[in-house]
Amino acid sequence: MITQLPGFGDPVDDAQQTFRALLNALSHPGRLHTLSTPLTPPGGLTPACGAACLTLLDLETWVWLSPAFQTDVKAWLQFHTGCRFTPDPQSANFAILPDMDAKFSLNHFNMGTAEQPEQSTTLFIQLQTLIGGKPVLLKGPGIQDQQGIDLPLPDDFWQEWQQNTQNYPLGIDIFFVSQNQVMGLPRTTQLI
Amino acid sequence: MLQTSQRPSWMGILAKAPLSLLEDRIRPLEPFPAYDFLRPPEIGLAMVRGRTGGTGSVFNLGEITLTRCVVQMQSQPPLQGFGFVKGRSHRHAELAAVCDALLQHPDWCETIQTQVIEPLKAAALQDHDTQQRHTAATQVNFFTLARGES
Repeated sequence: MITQLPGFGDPVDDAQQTFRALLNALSHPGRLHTLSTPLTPPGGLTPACGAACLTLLDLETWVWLSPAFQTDVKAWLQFHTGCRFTPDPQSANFAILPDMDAKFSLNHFNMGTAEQPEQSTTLFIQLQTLIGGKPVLLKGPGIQDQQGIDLPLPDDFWQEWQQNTQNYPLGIDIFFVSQNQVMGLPRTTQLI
Repeated sequence: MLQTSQRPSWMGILAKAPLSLLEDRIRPLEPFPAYDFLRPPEIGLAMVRGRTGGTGSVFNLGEITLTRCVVQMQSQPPLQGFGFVKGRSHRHAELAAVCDALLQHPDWCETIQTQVIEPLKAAALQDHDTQQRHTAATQVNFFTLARGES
């Protein structure tokens, strides 16, 4: 099946702007960054998440796509990025999730190895909104003093996140994306 | 209606045709059904691989510049045309993709086949033939006058 939806209107500029926003998001964890690239991704994928995927995925990346997505998401990503899909989250470079459900656990994904910590899985997690949940305070590189956020996440997520930050340099990095915003949560960001 | 088994053949003809000839053939047939770019023309590289004598083991001959383009034509169901051409001409890739889509279109395939593909094929055959004759004219036959036997 070939997708019927186009990718970036201006591939070079749009990808560069999106890349800059994603870089800023990981450089300043917990801050909201806007991804305003006009894009019509297939159903289930938000424009911000679609833009992030088109920017970071390529022929050499292995992607774990949540089974909750429809098949046209897979066809769209395959056509526009040429990425490869794996059913095993442990072997994925990127994982794309449409929401946080009860089965979610950071342990499903690859933490990297001591020789190659950069091989860990980077998660794109879509959320309806990036505010309105339980407030937490973050500290770490890229944060002066402290950064308060209130992502709408399940309670046990932050327990798992604390474990994730204790294995440095191993660990998982996350991008939380809404319709047109992104927030980075790299492995170096700790809870206060 | 054309068969998809013929698709590699027409895509090859469109890709190898000179752009000026393709433009000349296509211009009188416009306007075409509306189309958008699913993948705007983009330039990249491809590795050409070969086998010595067609049977040896595969080796990398070198990289060539390719331009590729995918258009989507508004019809029911939507038709997708793919164009892959050597070189860096966006226009050539676009025209090849548009012709590929039209050749899958029930109302257009006859016209494109007779007005574009067949003349381009004939022109390519003629070029090939001329080249063959030019080459043949330079042929040298070696023969032995004396075999060195006493």
